[in-house]
Order: sequence, then structure tokens, then C-alpha cells
Amino acid sequence: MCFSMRYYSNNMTHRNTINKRKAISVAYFLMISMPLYAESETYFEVKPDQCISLHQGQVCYQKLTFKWQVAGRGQYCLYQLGALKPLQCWKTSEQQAFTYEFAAANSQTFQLRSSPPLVGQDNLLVETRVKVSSVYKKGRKSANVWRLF
Amino acid sequence: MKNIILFFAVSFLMATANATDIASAIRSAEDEPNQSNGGYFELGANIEYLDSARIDETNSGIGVLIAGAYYYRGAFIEAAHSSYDGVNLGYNFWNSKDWSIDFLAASVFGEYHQIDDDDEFDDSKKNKELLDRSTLYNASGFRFTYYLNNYIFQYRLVADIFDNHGVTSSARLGRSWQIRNWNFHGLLGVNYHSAKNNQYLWGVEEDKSTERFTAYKPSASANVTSEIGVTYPISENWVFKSTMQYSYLPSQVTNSPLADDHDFFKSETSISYVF
Repeated sequence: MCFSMRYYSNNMTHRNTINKRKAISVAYFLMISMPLYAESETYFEVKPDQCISLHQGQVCYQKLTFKWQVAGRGQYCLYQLGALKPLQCWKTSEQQAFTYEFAAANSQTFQLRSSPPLVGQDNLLVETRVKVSSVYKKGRKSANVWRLF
Repeated sequence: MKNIILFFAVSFLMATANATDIASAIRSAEDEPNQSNGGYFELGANIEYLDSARIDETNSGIGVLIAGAYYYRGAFIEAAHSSYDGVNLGYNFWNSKDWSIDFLAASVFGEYHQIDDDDEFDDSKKNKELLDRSTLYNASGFRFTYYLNNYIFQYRLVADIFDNHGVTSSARLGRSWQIRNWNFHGLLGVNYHSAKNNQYLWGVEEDKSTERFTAYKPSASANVTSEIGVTYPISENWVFKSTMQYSYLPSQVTNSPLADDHDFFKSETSISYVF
């Protein structure tokens, strides 16, 4: 009995060990196969995050793709900072993508906001920046431009 | 009097806006004088086809592209890529939002070839000297540039005060269009060359004439030049450019024994690194 009990106990220990190993393996598999963000975290990215114009001050054009995932249900909107109206709004928390024809002379910030705000949070969830760079840059402007005539 | 001198001195020191060589300005779609200190340097490779009116001057091939410009408190040096006017060393002394007037202390264009001083030329030597003659033109003068939206107008008047090779002048109107990040441009101009300048470039002196190249003394001339092109920023430092230039040459040039064509054509495509 003792033997069998011990055997049972050992068997359980073995099973527990196997289960732990399986769990670790599954967890490891999930870690390497899933994106680097947890479901509870907000994920937001834009590609490409840079637009190149020929000279400084010129409007730069670029097709941007935004991707994000947020936790919780509600309405989510994508804003270009400084604009009153959102670029797009969605009533879902699943990962979304949005393509936008960017046209700006300066770097721009894009924000993902929730409406209403999530519990314990501002309605600003996360933001990202699209940098506008140019090949021919204007140098430092002098404060005074004197005229000879 | 002292105050006037001081005013002019301060004005020269403080002037900061710079117009640029129209070839460079229109290709980079500038829409106002560049009111800043600084500059750029450009290094790259190009593939070029050139068919000029001069005898045997048709070239094509791959080459190295070197260009640049630097501006500091109104003083500037420019070596614009595929410029019509060569290397400019000058000073901006008047400007407004749209206008800019530059003094060109030295505007250097063309090639210098060493001439053999030996007077005992036979005809073959003379022919070679005539074909390989220097075209170096080192002039000084003024440049007026006007910016209006996507248009740039530039008038230029220079005289060779170093070797007395005459006067040249040009009036050019450029227009740029932006389609997404592609920058297209067109340039239309009129070039004037004084009789002395044409003589230097296309004339044949009596004592230098040969059976093949008879004496020729051209008068002053004017002709129309044109250019179309496109520029695209590949990255923050890399630029793609492609241009085509065409000029129908005046009779003062085409009647020269040194000319064998009625027009000038050049096409160039390049990729360069800008820093």
C-alpha cells in the first residue's frame, strides 16, 4: 500500500512535472509566436514613420499604415494632433489597421484616443510621430535682413 | 560720410538672403530666396549623353558628379549640378521676400587648355589647337532673381574682366511642379553672347586659320535654351535626378568652321548623396 501510495505519489509528481514542462513549453511557444504586446496592453504603430521631401518646407506625401490593438470595449478614434476631427473611429477593441494618405510639410503626431475614456485612464491611449525630413535643408535663419538700397 | 560708409559696411555684413543658380533652385523646387546660412555638398554618379555643336564633341558615358553650395552672411560659393553658368563666387547685397540681387565676383565656366606658344605651327597642329581651344570664361557681374510661387525668373549679366572675352547675358524662366514627392521642372531661357565672346568661342583668327578651318569672325548672337527634368528624394541623403537640355543654336555659331551641328542636346540621369 505504501508502495502503491508512494508509487501513486511519485506518479502524480511525475505527472505534475510533465504538466509543468508542458505549460512552460506552451508558454514559451506562445511567447515566441505571439506579438510582443500582451492583450492587456495597447499596441500602436505606424509604418513608415518617416516622410522625405526634397527641400525643407515642401509638402511631403506618404501612404501610412497604422496598426493597433487596445484592451476593453468602446469607441476608438485616430487623431492627427491639432485637428479637431478624427481621421477614423471604430467601435471595437480588436486589432485594427488604417491606411492614410499623409501630406504635411512638418512632422506630425498621431494619437489613438478612446471615447469614453477607459476606466482609470485619460482618453489619450497612445501616440506616435511621423517625422518629415528633407534632403536640402534650410540653415539657420538670421533675425535681421538688411537692405543695401 | 563716415555714417554712409558705416551703413554700407553694416549692410554688407548683415545681408543674409541668397538667391541661387536657377539650375539648382528650380530642380529643388525653391519658392523663395533661401534666407539662411549653410549649404550642401553632393557626390554621386551620372550617366550622360552630350551632343554639342563643336566638331567631334559628342560624348556619352558614366561619370562622377560633384556639386555643392555654401552661403554665409550673404557671401556664397555655388557649383550647381549641371549648371549653365559654372562655379559662382559672389555676394548677395539686396533682397526682399521675392527678389534677390547678387554680385557675382567670379563666374567661371568652360575648360582651360594649355596653348603651345610655338609660332611654327603646321596646319595639323593649328587644327588641333583650334579644336582643343580653351573655353574658360571667368566673368564678373550681377544676377537678379525673382520668385513667384512655383516660378523663378533669373536675369544675369556678366563680363569677362579677367581676359576680356566679352559679355554674356541670360534671362531664364523656370517652373516647378510637385506630384507627390516627384519634383518636375521646366526651364526656358534666352542667352546672349557678345561678338567678342563668340569670337573667343567660335571665331578663327586670320593667323590661326587653316585650309580646314578658314578665318571666321562672328557677330553677337542670341538663342533660346530649354530644359525639362525631374528630381526625386530617395531618402534623406540620396537624390535621383534626370534632365534633358536642348538649344537651337544661332547662325553665328553654326556658321563657324568649328561647328558641325545646329543644336545642343544633353541628357543626364544621376543618383547622388547629399550632405
